[in-house]
Amino acid sequence: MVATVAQLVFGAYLVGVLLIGVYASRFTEHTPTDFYVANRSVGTVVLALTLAATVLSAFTVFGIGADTSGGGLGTFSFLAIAAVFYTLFFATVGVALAEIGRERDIVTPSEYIRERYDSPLVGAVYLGVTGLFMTALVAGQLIGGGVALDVLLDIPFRPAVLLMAGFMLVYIHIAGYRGVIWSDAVQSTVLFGVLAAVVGYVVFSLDSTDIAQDAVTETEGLFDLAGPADVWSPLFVITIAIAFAFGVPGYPHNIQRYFSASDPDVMRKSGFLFAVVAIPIYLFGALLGVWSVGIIPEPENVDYVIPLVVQELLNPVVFGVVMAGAIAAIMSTADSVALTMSSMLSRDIYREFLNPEATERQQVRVTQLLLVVLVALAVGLALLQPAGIFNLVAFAVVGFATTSAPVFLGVYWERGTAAGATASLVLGPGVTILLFLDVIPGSLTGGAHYGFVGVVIAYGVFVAVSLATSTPAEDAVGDHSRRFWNRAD
Amino acid sequence: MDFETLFPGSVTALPTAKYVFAAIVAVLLVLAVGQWYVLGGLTELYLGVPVWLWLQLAIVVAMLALAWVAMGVWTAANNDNSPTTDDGSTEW
Repeated sequence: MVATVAQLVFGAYLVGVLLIGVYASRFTEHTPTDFYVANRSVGTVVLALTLAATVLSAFTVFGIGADTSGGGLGTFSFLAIAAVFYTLFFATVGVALAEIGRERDIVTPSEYIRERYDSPLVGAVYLGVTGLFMTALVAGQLIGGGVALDVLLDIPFRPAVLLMAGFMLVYIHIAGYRGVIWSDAVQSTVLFGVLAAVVGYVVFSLDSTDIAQDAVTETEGLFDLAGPADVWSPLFVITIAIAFAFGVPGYPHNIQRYFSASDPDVMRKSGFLFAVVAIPIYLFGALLGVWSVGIIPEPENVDYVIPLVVQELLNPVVFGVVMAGAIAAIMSTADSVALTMSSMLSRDIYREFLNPEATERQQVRVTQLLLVVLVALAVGLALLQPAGIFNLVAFAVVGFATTSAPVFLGVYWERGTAAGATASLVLGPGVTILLFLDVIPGSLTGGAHYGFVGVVIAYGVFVAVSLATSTPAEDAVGDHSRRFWNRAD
Repeated sequence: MDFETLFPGSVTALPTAKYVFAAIVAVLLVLAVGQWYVLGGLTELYLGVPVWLWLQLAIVVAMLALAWVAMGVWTAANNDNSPTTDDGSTEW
């Protein structure tokens, strides 16, 4: 009975999302600008919610709780600090990119890079490097989807991952960017509502203090500022927060969202509203994670902590809604990433190198085909499960941070060159990957987060190599950059 | 919120705006790191949440407010040079 009611609620939710996609498809014009950025017509609230939805993912719903259940609440601390800084990126770089995108008819980040540096090669390098991190990010979502379907529907993990991937593909094929952002808006709202309800239930209907004290008995130091293993030192927190502060606004799928803003005010306000929505959701996930230690025995795979604690605490209807919210978060991130990646491949590889005469409809068709390929790669990685959700997605986020120098500095620093961008895109992410894989020992970071090291290298190399090489064509730079302060002193 | 109205013109005019913006970013960084040195030890629980986290939430809200002011100053300082339409709105 429990499973049946929860499954019915869950099924109803998925049908609802599909209906949104079908409805949105009536407005999708199957031109690249519409399919990728909804004709740059997205307003404040929808843009804020779609930004939030792309960030609120398996990482948020399952990953944060899994991490705090063992490592304490420092996870929330660094995410909240990073979210404050997101607002500044959205309000400055986001606005500038939105303006440039509109003026130059740019719809993808790699297209911006290619035009800014007057180099198809740099665009292709950006695409290749971000593609690695995008695949990891989608794989993290599919693992989360597999966990949710395993707990809710008792579908074994592997078929569950395939089912998630299939649903995602169908949805994007039907809906395009407009459907993705509409469903994102719904999904952010659902996720915020259900997580707030669960936390509220624990605080007001159960004795959260007793639960927390049980958790402390189980894991000493769980509620300490530094966490039970003393991981959260000031240096570690600020460096991981900085890496995330560059990474989240530097997501290629978020950069694509900058291009979809209907005006600069929308970009600014939605960036701020995004942080206001994201911080409480980070908090809810973190609290459920630490409280879970006082409620359920530690599962063999910590990624199952949140679904199991929700199943333990709540009635089947709420459990079904929470799992639907989780799938919502997972879907909204995965579909955005997959759509951005495939649109970059279509416009910046297929049209640029393979078929310059491609019609707009052909570009959209190729995008849809490439989606299948990308999702297949992500499915392969998800089935391998090289890391837990938190670590895999955190790797992707800091990876994106190391790819952001050519975009963020390129917007404001006219001296940035193609050689600088290429070197930055190779060395920053390269060192980050080697640190993640422990090929370079983590002890060499001196207590800083490995992603921060990658960001410092990426930005340092970009500046150093740019200063040592000649600038790209003046018109390319002038048309694709802005002064940070555009009024003379 | 119209920052040109809310704040005196001198704050949103260059070069003051640059100093205000940089100062706010510096304060944000100090708050981000500094809280770690004052919140430690406040591990008593209230509603199942440690006291340090309640205080951290207040600090984060203050940081968000500061970030909003920084955004407003930057936007107001840059507005004069933005292309505008006849009705005064920003032109894209």
